[in-house]
Amino acid sequence: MRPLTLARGDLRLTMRDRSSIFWIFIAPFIWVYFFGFLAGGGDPSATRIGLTVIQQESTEPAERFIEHLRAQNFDIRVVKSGEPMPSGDSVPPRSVTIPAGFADAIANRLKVQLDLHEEERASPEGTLAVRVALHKAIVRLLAGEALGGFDPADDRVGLISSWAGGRKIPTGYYQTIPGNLVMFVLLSTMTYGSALLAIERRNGILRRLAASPLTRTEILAGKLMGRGAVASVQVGVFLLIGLTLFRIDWGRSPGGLAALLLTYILCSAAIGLLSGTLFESPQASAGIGVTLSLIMAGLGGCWWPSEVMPAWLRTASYVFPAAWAVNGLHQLVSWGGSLKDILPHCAVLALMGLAAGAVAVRRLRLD
Amino acid sequence: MRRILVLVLKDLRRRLADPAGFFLNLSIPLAMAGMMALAFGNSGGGEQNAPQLRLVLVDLDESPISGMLAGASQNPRAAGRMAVRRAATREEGLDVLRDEEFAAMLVIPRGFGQALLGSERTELELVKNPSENIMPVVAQQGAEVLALYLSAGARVLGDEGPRLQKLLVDGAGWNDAAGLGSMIATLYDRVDAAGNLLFPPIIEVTEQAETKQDAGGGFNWMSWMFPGMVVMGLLFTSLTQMRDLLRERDAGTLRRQLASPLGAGQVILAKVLSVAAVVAIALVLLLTVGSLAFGLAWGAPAPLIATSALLVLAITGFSAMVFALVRTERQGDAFGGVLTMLMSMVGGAFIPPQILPEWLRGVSCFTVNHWGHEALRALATGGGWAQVGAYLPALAIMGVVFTGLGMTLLGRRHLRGTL
Repeated sequence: MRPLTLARGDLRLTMRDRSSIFWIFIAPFIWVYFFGFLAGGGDPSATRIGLTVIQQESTEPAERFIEHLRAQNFDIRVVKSGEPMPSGDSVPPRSVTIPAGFADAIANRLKVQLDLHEEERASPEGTLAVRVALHKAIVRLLAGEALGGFDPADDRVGLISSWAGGRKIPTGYYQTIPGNLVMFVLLSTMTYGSALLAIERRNGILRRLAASPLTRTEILAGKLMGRGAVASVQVGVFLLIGLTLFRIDWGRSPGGLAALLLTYILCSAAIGLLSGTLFESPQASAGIGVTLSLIMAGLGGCWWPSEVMPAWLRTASYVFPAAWAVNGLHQLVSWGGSLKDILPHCAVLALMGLAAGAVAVRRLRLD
Repeated sequence: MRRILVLVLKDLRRRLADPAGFFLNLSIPLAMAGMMALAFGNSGGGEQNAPQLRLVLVDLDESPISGMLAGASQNPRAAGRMAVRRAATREEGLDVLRDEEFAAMLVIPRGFGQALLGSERTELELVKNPSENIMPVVAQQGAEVLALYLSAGARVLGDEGPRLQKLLVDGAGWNDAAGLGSMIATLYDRVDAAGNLLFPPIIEVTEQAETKQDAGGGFNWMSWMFPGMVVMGLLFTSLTQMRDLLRERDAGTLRRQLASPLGAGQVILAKVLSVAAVVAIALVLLLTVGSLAFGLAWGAPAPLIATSALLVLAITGFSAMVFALVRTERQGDAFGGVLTMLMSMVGGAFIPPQILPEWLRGVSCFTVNHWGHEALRALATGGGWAQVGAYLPALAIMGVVFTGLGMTLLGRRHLRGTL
């Protein structure tokens, strides 16, 4: 019971601090909203990508080429020869030019070039989609020329595409909330959690606690639970806001979600505590805490999809708890997994937490 | 002037005597930049840094046609960009997709080869990994192109498909020399006609990106990312250093200086100058790390010095203003930290400002981050006076306004004894 009293005190102290309130409860949602908003909220395959077609000749092949582009869910704006080029932010950031002599070149089997121009604001994924769309339109046009017509209705091979797991497509807020939950829990435990311990040591609070009838393990357990309590409130707010404001479906296994988040909170709290035992000054422990948690979050898949990292780095990232937590959340949220699917994740996180806690117990100086 | 200089030097010596905090402020942008370099390579995107597409292939057909299709992924060009794992069944494929983090699973259905050659419609199936965002979309686009080429191939075969199927699948018809000859001649003509146009396609796409290039003529992704981190790091450094004013107030040293033959304005000026000196040192360090670790060149000395000086002025002025408005260190940390984070978000530290919505880009123009980022990026991409010239007036205006306002407010509070 005595460690619980300590934990309650720590929680009360954190909740009284306005800057903690901002960084723990408000900043994460500004972050989520900003990046979720930029990532867009819908199905990427259903998003119409804008493309301006500068048509320098009005021949049948040129018209057919544009029709093939239109058939691919593109928002096409055609600018004919002599018409002024539209400007402003509503104009698509990419344009392709069908040059004069396009039809003649095809008829005479001569090479012809289409210039694809991208403005700085063009997103890389949109550009990739445009490249593929242009390639498909080119193949369809040329195959049509060679084979006497090649309409989509004549295609012998179709493609059925679906997402495994039968869940919603991970875009927008779906994509950013799990990663941000993992990052901000780590940030709060490793900055406030570790700095608070350093402040208490500096102010002699730990020394006074040492003189009280509390064992060393009880003091540490109390501190651990205090950090865990702050992180639990933060996670609770994340889950609630995710459910109500961003309509996130957290998966089919509330038990699995609770087990994963609980082990992650305890692991982060133990690491935060360890960090607090390593540095004398609160500034140093908070500063190192920010840097380390950003590294762990970035490499753990909280900032960008981990599939874009080299394979060796992706494997190496599993030395950090963030990677296990993000992967576990994907198993539950994206794949609709159960408690059984995330048991290995919970075991690893618990082991990491135990290891960090054990080192923290050895290193903790109360004087 | 000499007195102010003496104060600045003493202050600077004191600030740098314990450089831990100073280096901690710099460690955040450097750690973030280093991590991104590790994840994406110094030059970020580009063909050579494109991530490998990890694909599970399930061939339920096991016909010569599906075998050819599956084998195509083994050619050296494709093998460099794709990692293909074969699975015997759909269930096994799904397990690999989930447990080993593959991007997608391509299923070639039973009877695929027969349908393709027999002029029937058939469908490939692509199952994407829902815990990934980018590579499954790449896999889908690749599969769409593959299906298109297969459809074109089937059209080229036309009515010869069933006969080809008998030869390849059933092994029948090899003794019909005349029939074989006519089929080969027909197919040759069709492939030749299509090949002139399609293999390779006579229509080529050339790309012209407006992305700024580095001095070497190539696109260095770090030249976009690192300047944003530099400005963010300088803001944190400046705020931490300016916080010292409130600490001196609490220790009573500022009050005692009022009794010395120095005006309040002189004391505040010396304090602001010493913060500016630390910010300048931080900037030099960050630019040096940018050059040595990420291969960035910062252009000709004169525009670099002008940009650096105005950036240091604007950032120091910003933090002076923040600490002129707050009463305690904690308020300063919270208020300054929040503002820095928000300004970094809209000012280009994390994402290219060009992809922000128009209204947010308008907001970003009111931040030091925006102008500092743009100016440093112009230098990192080989720009000179002509390129940075557009950004320097804004930095100068911000520097003068923020520093003037900040110093005036700090001076008043100092005289009132509330600083």
